[in-house]
Amino acid sequence: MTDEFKYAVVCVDDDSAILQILNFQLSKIINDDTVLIECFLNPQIALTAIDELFESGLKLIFVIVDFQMPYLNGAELILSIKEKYPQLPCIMLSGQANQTQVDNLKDNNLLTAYLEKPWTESDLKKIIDIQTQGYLSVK
Amino acid sequence: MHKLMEKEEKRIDVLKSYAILDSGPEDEFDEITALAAEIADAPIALISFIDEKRQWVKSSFGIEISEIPRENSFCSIAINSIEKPLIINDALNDPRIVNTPYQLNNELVAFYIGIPLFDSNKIALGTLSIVDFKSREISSKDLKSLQTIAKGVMRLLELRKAKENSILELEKINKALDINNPFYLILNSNFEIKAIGKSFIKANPSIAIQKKITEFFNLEFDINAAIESSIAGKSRVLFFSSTNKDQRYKCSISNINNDIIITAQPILNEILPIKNYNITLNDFSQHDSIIEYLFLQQSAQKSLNESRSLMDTVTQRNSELEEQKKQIERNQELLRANLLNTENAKEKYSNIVHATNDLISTIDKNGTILFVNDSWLKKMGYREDEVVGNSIFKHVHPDSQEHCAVFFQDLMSTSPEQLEVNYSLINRHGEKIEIEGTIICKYEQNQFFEGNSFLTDVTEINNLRRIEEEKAKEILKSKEKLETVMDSLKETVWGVRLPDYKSEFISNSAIDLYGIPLERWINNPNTWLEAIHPDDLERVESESASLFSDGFTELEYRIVTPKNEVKWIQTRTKIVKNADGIPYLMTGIAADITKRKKLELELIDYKKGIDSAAIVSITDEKGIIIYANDKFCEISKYSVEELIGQNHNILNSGYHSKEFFQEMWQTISSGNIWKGEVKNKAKDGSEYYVESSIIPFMKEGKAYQYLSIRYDSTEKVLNKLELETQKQFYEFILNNLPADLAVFSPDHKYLFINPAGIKNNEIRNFMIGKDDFDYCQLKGIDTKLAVERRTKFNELIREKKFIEWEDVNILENGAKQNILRKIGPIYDEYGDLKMVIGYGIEITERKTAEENVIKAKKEVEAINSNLKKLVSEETQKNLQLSKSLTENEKMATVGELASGIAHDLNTPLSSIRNGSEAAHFTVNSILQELIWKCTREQLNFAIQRASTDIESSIFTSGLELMRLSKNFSVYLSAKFTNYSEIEIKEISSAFVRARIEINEEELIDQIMNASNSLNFLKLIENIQTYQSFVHSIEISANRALNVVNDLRLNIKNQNSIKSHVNLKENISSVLNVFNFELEEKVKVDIKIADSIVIYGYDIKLFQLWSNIIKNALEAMESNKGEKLLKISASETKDTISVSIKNNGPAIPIENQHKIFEKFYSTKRGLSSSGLGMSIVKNIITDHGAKILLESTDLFTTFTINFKKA
Repeated sequence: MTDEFKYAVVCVDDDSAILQILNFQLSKIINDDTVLIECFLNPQIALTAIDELFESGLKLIFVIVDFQMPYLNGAELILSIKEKYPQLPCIMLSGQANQTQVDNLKDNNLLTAYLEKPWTESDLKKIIDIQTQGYLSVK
Repeated sequence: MHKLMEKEEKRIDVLKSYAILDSGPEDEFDEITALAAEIADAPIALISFIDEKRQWVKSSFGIEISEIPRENSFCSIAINSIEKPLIINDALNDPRIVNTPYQLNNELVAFYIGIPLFDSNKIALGTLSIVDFKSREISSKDLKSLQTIAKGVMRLLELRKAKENSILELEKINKALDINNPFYLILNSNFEIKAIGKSFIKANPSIAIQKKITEFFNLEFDINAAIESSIAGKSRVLFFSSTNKDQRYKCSISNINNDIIITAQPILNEILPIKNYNITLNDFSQHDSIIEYLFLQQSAQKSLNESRSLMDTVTQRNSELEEQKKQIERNQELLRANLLNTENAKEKYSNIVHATNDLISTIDKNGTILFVNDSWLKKMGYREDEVVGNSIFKHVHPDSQEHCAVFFQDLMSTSPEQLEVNYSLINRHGEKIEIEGTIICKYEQNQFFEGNSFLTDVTEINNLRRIEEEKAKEILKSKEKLETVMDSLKETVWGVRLPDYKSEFISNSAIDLYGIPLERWINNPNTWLEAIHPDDLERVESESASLFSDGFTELEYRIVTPKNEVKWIQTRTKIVKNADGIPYLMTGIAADITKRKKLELELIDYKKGIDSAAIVSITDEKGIIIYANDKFCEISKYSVEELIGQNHNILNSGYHSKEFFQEMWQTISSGNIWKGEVKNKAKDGSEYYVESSIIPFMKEGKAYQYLSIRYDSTEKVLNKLELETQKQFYEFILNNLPADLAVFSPDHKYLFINPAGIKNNEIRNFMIGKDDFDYCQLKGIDTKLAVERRTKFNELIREKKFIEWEDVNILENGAKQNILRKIGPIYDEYGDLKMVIGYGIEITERKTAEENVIKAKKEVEAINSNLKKLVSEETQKNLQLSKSLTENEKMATVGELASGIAHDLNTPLSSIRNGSEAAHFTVNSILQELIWKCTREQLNFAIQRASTDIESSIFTSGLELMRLSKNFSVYLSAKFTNYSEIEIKEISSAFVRARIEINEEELIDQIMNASNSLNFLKLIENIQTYQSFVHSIEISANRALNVVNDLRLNIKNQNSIKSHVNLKENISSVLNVFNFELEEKVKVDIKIADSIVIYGYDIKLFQLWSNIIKNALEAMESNKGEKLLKISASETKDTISVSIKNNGPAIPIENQHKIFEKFYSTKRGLSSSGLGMSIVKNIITDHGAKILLESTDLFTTFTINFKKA
């Protein structure tokens, strides 16, 4: 099954509308059948899913994470991800982020990019293009 | 087995110490058996003791019997039954009785009770037994009486033993002390333990002597300081505890002869009474017999001396005689020289011969007397003519006849020149005259011719000699006897002669006692003085000064042996005088009393110990105080002088009843020890408690003195009272604890439940001793609850740790409560499960509260970080609003708004912006598909399908899509064989993306049969996506609108002026704003009279209704059935009341008061900024109105009461 996918991108946001938009925009921007776009409403489930994706042999290109989430906020989630996968690029998406926590991530070079709400597709594309360079041919 | 035998041996030893076996009958015991038989209503009662072989009967009632072999004895079984009496109701059918039926008085014993008689160490010595010949039973009351009597027997035994015990034994003192003052320690000056009270050992078996006290106890005081103040006479109450901290003691310290005595009382411990032990010091009965021997010896000595003086006389006389004899011999020499010479010489010779005292005679060869001198005649009482010519043998005493015949024969045969002879004559009066002398022989022609005898009368001398010999023998005998006695004695017996102090005799034991050889005693009169301990020398000298005037002294002092051992000795010295009253002998006895002295000193120590720890007094039989110790004075505040002679009831506090003292007197006057707690009154009126033991001293069956030993228990009593108060205090706390609390026994039965656990008193009390299964049965509910809790309990037992779980409690009003339950084990000191404590905490509230705190915190943080952004973004978007805000609101209000705005606006705006972009893109795709690839029917189908189910499966995980796609390809390839694998794969994926499910067979067939399958599927997918984005935009727009509404409602226009506002119009305008939500979804019911007018701020009232209605709409969102909003108003003379009802779920009572707090929100997301109801509260306050909230399962109602202006 996974032989068709080579790469994966993970999105995490507790708001399903935002997640739907992200899913749509990412498929459009990336436009590559070898990239699996996985979306999660629950950050804890996302954490275990990332492990599973790695185990199934997929190359994770990046993770997009919303800041404001129940149980585990974006900053905490990124910290957990970086602990296990320090090389995995993480992108923060938020309309209202705890500046201290975000600054802390930035200071430690844990944050690849920061996307403020409300964003536009072209804002997202700029970031994604950089991340996908070398992996795919972006259209 | 060995241990059992040891135990039995010990038991018999103890029994023997009572000296009861084979003793004669005693009335006291017989009275008891009679009483016991009467109580039990039985024919036979016995008091018996069991030794190795038999049951020996001390007293019997109803039968004449003295002993029973042990193998037949029921009592032997009884003494092995631990504590409990042995009761055999039917001996013939009792499994414990293995022997053949036993008979007494020729009848079979059917019923038997044996109550073991225990000594203080719980050793059964014998029994009080009851026998009947019919099988029957005994009432528990009667049995109890019999047990009491059995105790009485034992007390009688103890008294009897005490009475008979008059010899000091350390064991007994120890025992007495241990019972009385169970905790004492004696330390040496290095604080090493010398002696330990047995109870201490019992309490702390590791305590050993010769170890420092600090190894076993934590002293809570400076021991040196304590000793100093004890020496200074200031005793203080001190405290210490065992190193393992399980026991704390109160103690006092005293210092005696460099020994430190610590008498202690365990704090809050029972103090046992003293036993009646008659303690006397050893009397020297043995010594008297030694003195007796001494006097015998002295009388012998006297005789010896008498005979010696006699001897002196004799000796003197002897020497005179000797002198005479020599003179005679010289004369004889002379005679011999001149004998046969001249006539002159003959005459001279004749004169000498007749003048001498010697008996001189001449005999011929036949023994015929030829000549005798005058002395001879005089001595023998004969005349010359009666003698001469007769045989000499006629005058020889019969005793000497044979002897004379022999030496006469010798004389004839051996022809000596002279012969020494020694024989007896007999005189005319028959008296025996003993003679000694010489016979000078004359020979002619070798034939005996003549013999001249020169003999001396030695009768008198011989008599004296014989007396002397006899006396000497007698003395020797006496001396031997004395020496034997002396040598067999441990005591040293000695005598010195006066006035020169020359040693006369000393027994061998002096070597052992003093370690000094006998020669030194004999040679050096000062030996004894040199042996005295230097510290005692002065005292000995002063005390022995009176020896010569009194004739007798008794001293006790220490000696130092050459090996530097220190011994205590006792000496008794006596002066023996002669008939003239002049002392000539000093004699004495010295005994080693080291052991006794040590005991005495120890006894003094112990006594001091008791005196310093206990309150001691002695009264006479009427209760008049005759002795009181310092402690007694200290606590009673009376002086000794004031107490002595007073009746003991001077201390009566009036607290105890008359019966209390009657019982006490009855007990002690009958010889029993009484103990109890007494409240006394001191001189100054203060009251104190003492634990008293009163010990009667009996003389001829009557008490003549009472010894009272008491311990101050005021503190203990007060502690007890305090404990009681504390107990009540803790019970109060437990009963009022707002959390469920229950205590379980190890078998999971309830021991305690607090009212929070079970409210109903009746049920709570019922549940004690029951378990959860009983509870379920009582409540008529499923046992699932009990099973679950039992499982947790078993887990606790298994894991030995706290177990916790969450539990849902359904309240009576049907509301759910989340409870965190914990149960934890409590173990006793042996590690056994003692109890289990369980408690429940309601966590729904706690969780909410925690979330609120976190939320509030985050929002405040958000305020700070987003303040700038808010100002820049929102001022542009809503200039009017932000202007009014900055103008009219304090910065705090801005902050409050900002928190809600930031996230809530940005998120929906993101969706709106991007959703519309996406929608645009999708519509473009659709148009392309529509124009080129699809039919009108297909378009209609796609639109219709997309609008039926907008919200479901908005997006699906990529992997899930893969899985679905794979399923589809399996399904399709089986059914539509004319497609290639790649085609099937592509078309399957399209099906999945179009959200068509595998069971929609008809639709799948239809699409597969179309010529543009893929295009059609793409169309369906796109239209669905489009629809969902439009839906998403719609939702997001609404959310943005709500946020804007919030902002609008928050405006506090301070410039607004109060006016008369028409209520119905005002509320209607609010409903218009909410129109989009109210439409179709909510049934609105308004009952407001057109005429009602409120004097207030138009805009604020608008805000008020908006917030309440918004709140109501949100509350009803989750309603499955009808949503109902009821708004009504009523008017009286003074008030206007507006009521807004909704049928959303009830607000939990504990959350109701929080509703009006800022940032409180029951749910996250959508438009909930947590501000709405706080705004409501502000507006209500501005209007001087009141708001009431009532929330039931049916309706939640806000009622606002306005006062009319």
